[in-house]
Amino acid sequence: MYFFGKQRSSKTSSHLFLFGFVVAMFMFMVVAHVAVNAFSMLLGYSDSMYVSSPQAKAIVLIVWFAVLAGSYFRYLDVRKGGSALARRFGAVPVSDKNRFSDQKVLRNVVSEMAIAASCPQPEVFILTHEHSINAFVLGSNDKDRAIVVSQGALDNLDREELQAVIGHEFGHIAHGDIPINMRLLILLGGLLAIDEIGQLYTGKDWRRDWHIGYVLGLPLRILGSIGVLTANLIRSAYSRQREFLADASAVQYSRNPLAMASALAKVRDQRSCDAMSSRYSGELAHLCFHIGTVQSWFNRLFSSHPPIQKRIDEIDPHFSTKERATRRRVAPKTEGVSLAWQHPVTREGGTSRDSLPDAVALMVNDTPSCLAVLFAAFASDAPGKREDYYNAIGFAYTPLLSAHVKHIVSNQSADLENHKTAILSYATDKLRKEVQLENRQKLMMNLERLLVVEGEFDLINYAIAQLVRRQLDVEFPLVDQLAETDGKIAKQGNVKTFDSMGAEFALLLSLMVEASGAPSDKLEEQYTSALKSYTKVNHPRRSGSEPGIYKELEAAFQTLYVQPQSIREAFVQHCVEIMHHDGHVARAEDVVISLFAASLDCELAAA
Amino acid sequence: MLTAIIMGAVLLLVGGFVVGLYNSLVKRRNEFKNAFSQIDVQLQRRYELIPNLVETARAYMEHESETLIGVTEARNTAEKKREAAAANPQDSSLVNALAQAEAKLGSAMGGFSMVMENYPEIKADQSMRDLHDELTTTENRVGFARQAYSDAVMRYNTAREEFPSNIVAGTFNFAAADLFEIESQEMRESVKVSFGKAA
Repeated sequence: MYFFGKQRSSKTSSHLFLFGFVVAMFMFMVVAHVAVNAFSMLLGYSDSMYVSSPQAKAIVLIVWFAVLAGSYFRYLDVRKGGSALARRFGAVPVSDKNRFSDQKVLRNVVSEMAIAASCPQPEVFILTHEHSINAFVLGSNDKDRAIVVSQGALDNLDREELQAVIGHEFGHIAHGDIPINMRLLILLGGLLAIDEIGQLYTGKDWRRDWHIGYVLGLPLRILGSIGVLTANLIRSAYSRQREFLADASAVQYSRNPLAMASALAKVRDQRSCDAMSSRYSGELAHLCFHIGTVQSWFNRLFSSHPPIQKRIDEIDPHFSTKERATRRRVAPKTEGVSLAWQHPVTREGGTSRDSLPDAVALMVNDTPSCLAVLFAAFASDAPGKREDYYNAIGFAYTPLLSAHVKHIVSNQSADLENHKTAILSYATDKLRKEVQLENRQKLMMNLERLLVVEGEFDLINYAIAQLVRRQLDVEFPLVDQLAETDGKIAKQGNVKTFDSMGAEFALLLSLMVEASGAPSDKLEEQYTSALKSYTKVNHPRRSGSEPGIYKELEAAFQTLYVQPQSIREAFVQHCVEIMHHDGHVARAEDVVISLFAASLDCELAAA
Repeated sequence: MLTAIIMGAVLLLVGGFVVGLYNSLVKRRNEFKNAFSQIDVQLQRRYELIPNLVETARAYMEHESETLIGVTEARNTAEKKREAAAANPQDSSLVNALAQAEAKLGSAMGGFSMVMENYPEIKADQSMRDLHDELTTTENRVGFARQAYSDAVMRYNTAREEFPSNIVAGTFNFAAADLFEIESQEMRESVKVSFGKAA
């Protein structure tokens, strides 16, 4: 696309719309004046359309007052700084030093685009609970501006596409769309106030009996509604032009039209785009990267964003052809690649089905059976509890699934036990590819709740659940907490000495030692000898059965994660040595060590 | 009397128009100067990173002192040119000199990266890795800053040459700005290689 030309043409038409808006506002006030006069003549208060009776003057005065007051209140609301507004929407600031590499990428991308657009750096926020792809900017002055990106955008877009989306937002900043949008909003607030005052007179319920309030209220409501409608119509048309302008600017900044087009295509293809649209459709709509548009002409008229396909076509009319061609060319390789960069955790490469015995491979031949196997792996040994477990599954999902799980547990539990790791790794791999992120998150939540209810939440099940979570690519449960504490850690100076991390090492070591299943006096001995190499302080040995230990474990992982790679690797290596110490590797030990390695982002050398 | 008023009004209009044109030219000129200072900031950041990188690498590769000295020298030259160009960004010969010094530094860094390939233990060094990451994003930023500079220069030059503002530009001596580009063909190529290696 020739972006300079595109920018020029959409700038011209948006200026036209802006001019139209001002003219329409003026016309509206004149018409309002005349209409009120005419109404008062009709009621016999005055003789001419052009001379106002005192009553008509009163109404006009009310209208003006409403417009000014409404605008003023909206102004008070809008005047707040960008970061304050962002926090009000529940966005989490991205700290400077962060353990998540995708947040680091986001920071870098934002600062690169700020340079390309020659704008000052805004503060960066993430909407952690928003899983659709979206982004918006807040704050009308240069000094306090915030750029908010949804977690879904971080998860689903690659670096170049993210760059395009951020570039689009910088397009809005560079062309001053935010202050203009705020001003339009202020005017709209005024018009809305007329309607609201009218509503005070008429009452909320239209079907009530006619009363005297309608004499004053009805004209006000009609005037207000017409005003809001017209203003909205023009504002939307204006805003659509600005979207094209921002798209063209994003291409100017990133010089990468294909990335912009493919980001838009990903937005087009995502299924759950309505969550954000409904929540912020009101005022924020004009600032968002996109808003789900319904395809009726009426909705299109009032939509703040052009249809996505049209935006793609503006950037590159042949994009879909190119996209198909590249997809065909790289199809076997790219599967899962776009997801891979965002998680620092090493994932064992998907287990192939051929490595499983035939009977086992049959257990996981389609998605529902993968799900069933996953649940079966967590079934309790006690028959009574098992029955509860099936019922709970039947309740959470379908009775069919529950029966399937039951069948696997009663007939194939031996196979399942023997090949547990391989089966789970294959099943989760398949689920990750075939089930949407949102449903995977629900699955994880259900699974954990089931385990807690069942009272089966011991160290092994916890570790397996965490590994499954990683395999399914579902984010950590305590993401908000993590984001907050990360900031604190960064401030404290993140690299600690061995001594100060003693408590964390002690916790991990005691769980490791406990997993070996040796008698307790031996455990104590092993634990003290292992701890000696880390710290002189004598930390007491912990046990997996203590309440709240898993929260502590997560916190410990988090503290250790920001340490240098070499320390983490050495620690995991040490744990492997402990595991092989007694010449026998218990399954529990195996699971725990995999969890440690995955949580600390270390490769686990094949033993 | 009436003609005097009309004349006055016309003069005022024309005067206002000229002032407007002049002001918009000044605005564009400041924009591209600011864009240049952005490159300058990022280049400076880069030049500050390079000595650290060299010092860290020295511990591992004593036998490659030639490469290291080459990088340091190229960096020092580029730094000097940068200071000269930053003092007077409108002088296109200074900007050109900086671009050439940049290109030399680029190829020196490319050679450095290549030599580094032979020392796997350097790559394992944490601080080296951090420095290298830092250098990569900085190089990205240099790229974007140069692009923003080119865009600003284009806007300024267009405004300067368009009728009627070209008359104002000619009268008030608005000099043409130069793109931050490398003159000779081989220079251009070596830059490409080096950025590819470093990134």
